[in-house]
Amino acid sequence: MKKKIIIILIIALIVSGGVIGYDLLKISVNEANKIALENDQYLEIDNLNLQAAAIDYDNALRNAKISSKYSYSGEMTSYYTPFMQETNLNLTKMSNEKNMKLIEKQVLSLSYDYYINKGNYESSLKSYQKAVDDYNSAKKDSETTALEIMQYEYSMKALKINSDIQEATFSQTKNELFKLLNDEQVADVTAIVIKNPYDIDFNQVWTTATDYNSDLYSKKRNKEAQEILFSIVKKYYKEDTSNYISALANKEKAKLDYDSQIESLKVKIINDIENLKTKYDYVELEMLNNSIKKNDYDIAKSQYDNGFISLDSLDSKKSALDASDTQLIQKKRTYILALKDFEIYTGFTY
Amino acid sequence: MIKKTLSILLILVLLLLPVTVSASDYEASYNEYINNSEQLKSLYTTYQDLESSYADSVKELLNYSTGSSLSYYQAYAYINKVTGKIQLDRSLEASKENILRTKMDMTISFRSRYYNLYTLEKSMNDTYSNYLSQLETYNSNVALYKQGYINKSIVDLSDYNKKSAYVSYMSNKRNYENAIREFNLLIGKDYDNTDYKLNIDEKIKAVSPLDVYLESFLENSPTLKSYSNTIEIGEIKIDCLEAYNLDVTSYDAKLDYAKTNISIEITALRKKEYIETSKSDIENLYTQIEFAKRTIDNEAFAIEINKRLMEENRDFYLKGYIEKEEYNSYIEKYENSVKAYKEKIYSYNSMILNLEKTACMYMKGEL
Repeated sequence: MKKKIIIILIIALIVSGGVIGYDLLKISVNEANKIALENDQYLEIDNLNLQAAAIDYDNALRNAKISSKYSYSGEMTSYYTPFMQETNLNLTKMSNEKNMKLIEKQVLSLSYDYYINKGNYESSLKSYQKAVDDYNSAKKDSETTALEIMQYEYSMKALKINSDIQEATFSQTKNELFKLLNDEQVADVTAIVIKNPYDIDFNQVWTTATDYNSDLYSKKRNKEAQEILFSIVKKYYKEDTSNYISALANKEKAKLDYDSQIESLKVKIINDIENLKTKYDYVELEMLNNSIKKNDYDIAKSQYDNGFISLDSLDSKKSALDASDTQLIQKKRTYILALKDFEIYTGFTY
Repeated sequence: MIKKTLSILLILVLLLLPVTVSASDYEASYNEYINNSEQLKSLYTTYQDLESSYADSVKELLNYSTGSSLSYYQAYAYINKVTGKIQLDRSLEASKENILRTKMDMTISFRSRYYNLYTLEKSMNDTYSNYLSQLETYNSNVALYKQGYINKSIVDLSDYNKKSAYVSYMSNKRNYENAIREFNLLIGKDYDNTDYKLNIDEKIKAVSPLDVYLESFLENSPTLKSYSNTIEIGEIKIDCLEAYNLDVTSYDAKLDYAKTNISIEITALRKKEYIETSKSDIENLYTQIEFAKRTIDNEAFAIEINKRLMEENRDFYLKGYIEKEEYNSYIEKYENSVKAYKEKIYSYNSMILNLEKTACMYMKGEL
């Protein structure tokens, strides 16, 4: 009897140890972002690109100082080139900021994946363990034919492969998190408060986006650059020359491009706010489903404790609750990542 | 009577509709696809042009005088001479790599299209069998109705099921024929050619240890070579500028020196990033292949189970314990498991090809 208890204890320890082994240390999202940004080697590339753009801008300013202001090429060197290099420098800065936001998005994405893949793995493990039990019971049952035992064995093996695939996926997510956060830790995305996007005000977003959106900035600066270029060209070329006509056409086209970019950005923001509402609705719906499943499980638990239902019935309620938990995290992930994308191109933090 | 005659006629027409088949021609179609590719022909021409002009270009570079003084222009002439040879060699090698990579891409794409044809043909045949079965049910219901055993609504329902099965069959048939026409265009055959016997029966490909793929990637990757090349050229430039001390004497050279150093650093970081990402891709593909192999082994086990079930039920059928239809269902189950096994092997072999592509193993191939 003692031996049996010891064996059970050892198995329990191994099993619980195994499960604990899958868990990472939870840290706040802000802390995780800080670590990921400090740890990211590719931000070094961004800094080097910024250095190169700064060198080009300094060089353009230097050339502007020493060049003549009374010739076509001299005016180009003095006014147009420094303006373009300044645009390039600012766009590099904006791109670097965007890359930092993308790293924050990666933290969110992988941390959500961690919880989802953990849920999938644990559920696949349960299915496999049930198949093992079914197989062992079938083997003990004298009425089960050899062929039926083979069928149980086939199901058991198929579920084992699936469980191993889920384990590998989970393990891959953990490895990627390790690379990102430099340790065995995960951002506690479960603590993120899901805010209602029905309160987002378009005008507020638009004000931020006009300063922040790099595509719009690029088009705006190009419009201004073409105006500078045209003001230089018209001093040195007659109206019927190809240089004059081409500069005028480029100026008009840049203006049209800018106006069109304003309109398309407006439409994108409106559409994305609407899409956020849909994604939020799905989160709310799954929260409702989750509370129903939780209630079902609580009732089943009490019925089981009083001997009214079997352990199998209770297990099925628990599985339904676990599946809903994973679904809820999945829906939250979709919403939060869409919100992050929205923040990345509008600069609007919600 | 008229309805029955029409049904028989319809069956005869439908029997003639499916494409005529000849011997399996995966190899023949593949060879036509490769041999008729304009893209490959153009890549070969580029390579041959580069190869034939290579000796003259090298000679021209070597004859290029760089002088002996330490002037700005002579320093750059020297840089251009040395790096020019490296770039020339790289262009020739890259042109060869381009052909080999394109061939590999085409092989993978061809396999995927061929498999698509196979599955479309299978869907067409399955829906056709279903149509025949619905037609049989309908005809039998019509006979029963005439004898007064069933009511009209049952006949109407089976008429609807028969028509629905026919629409589904025609939809699948058109999908298959459309895909066949696109396939013909791809391999350079007449678009209305339907002379195919689609066969995906293959031997399982052997997989090497993971290290073989990782080493092949490090040794053969054209992108890695290109990064190394850029770094090498940048370093030569830096050495040269330092030797001529141009970073102090000329503003432009000083600027070039600073930007080249940044470019080397950026390229080195990108190279590191590329190695890490590609290694991880190779490892993930390898893991997927291992799982696919285990699934195939389990499917072989499923075939064994279905074979035994079929044999067991054949005995039951011969002894009169079960109906012919029930026995047929076991035969069908067995045949389906064999088909599923072959499909999994074909997909598995494609996965290995993808792994070989990621590991740049095609670089060892012949032009």
